[in-house]
Amino acid sequence: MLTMALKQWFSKPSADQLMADYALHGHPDTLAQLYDSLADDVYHYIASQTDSQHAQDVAQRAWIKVIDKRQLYRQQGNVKAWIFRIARNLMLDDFRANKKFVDELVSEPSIEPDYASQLADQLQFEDLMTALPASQREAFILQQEGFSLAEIATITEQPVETIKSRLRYARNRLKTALENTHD
Amino acid sequence: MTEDQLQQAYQRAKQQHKAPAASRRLVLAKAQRHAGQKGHKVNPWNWTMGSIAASALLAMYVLLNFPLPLHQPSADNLMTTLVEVHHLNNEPIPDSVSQSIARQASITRQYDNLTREFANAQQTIAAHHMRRATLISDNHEWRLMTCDQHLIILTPALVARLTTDQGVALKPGSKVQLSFDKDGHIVAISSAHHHACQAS
Repeated sequence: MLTMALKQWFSKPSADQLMADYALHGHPDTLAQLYDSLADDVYHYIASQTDSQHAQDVAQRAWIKVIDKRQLYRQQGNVKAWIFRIARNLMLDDFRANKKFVDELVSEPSIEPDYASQLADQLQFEDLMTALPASQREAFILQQEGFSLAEIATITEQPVETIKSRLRYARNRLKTALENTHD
Repeated sequence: MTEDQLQQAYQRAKQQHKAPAASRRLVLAKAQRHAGQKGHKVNPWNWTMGSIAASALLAMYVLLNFPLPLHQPSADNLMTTLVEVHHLNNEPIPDSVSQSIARQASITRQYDNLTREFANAQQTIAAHHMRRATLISDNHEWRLMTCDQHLIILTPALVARLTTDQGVALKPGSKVQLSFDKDGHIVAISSAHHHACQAS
């Protein structure tokens, strides 16, 4: 019991704990800790779907929404998934306003030729990810960020089976492309 | 290629895309402002009700303690077209009245209200005409502003006589009815219960 308490005392609070505390007290220092633990993840996720300037704008607005709507956060929830979803919705709203990419992102991807493998020789991993269809890329990034299939399905508002399929395609393409690069 | 290698490759690529420092500053500044607003947040309803209650209390205090001076114009800023000074026969005009007179635009008449004649007049002479006025000051003398913006100054001795003889006790702001004889001398003063400038 004492060991657990000491461990808890000295351990770094999780993002969920930080958000629960911020939702309750609204202390800026708590938000700063939360931001430092998740900001890069959120930004990278959005930057993988759009250009860097738009990603910066979307990520900022997502965090401002976290500040404004902190009391809506459910304490038992996964704060990272919550913020990712906020950011994703903001990005999709922008896409809809600009009538851009949204169809590709929210609908089933068309199965394209193995585009990634064709580019493998000259492209880096980042470029290979960019070459993936947006929905596959998104599913892959969310998985790499530690989300479960169910959480990815919730964030992307797609059935779990669809997510499984997207992940399978994404991984296979990337693996193949990388193996070709290293050969 | 293993899943671990894939993950490592992903993490390496991710390092190239860190959230801009400017975003951190902007977001944390927003959080600070938000915290400040929350700290000073007041319930608008309570604030409104509090303001109304405070205003009501202030109004009641003023009405109870200073019922009339609120409606009293500044003596030095009076817009008058005529100043009349009324005093008893042979009564010297006090300095304060003289100074007041000097400040006014013009003085057209000074009325000597003869003591004896005045006393008799009250009993025997019917008022020739009446005018309504508002008492605006009693610092050194009575100043009465009529409805037609004439300022009537009564000397202290005349005031004493009028109040003693007729038992009127007036305060600044009081509406009064002045009775004049045919020569323009004040023969009586009484409280007016209606608005000073309504027709009698």
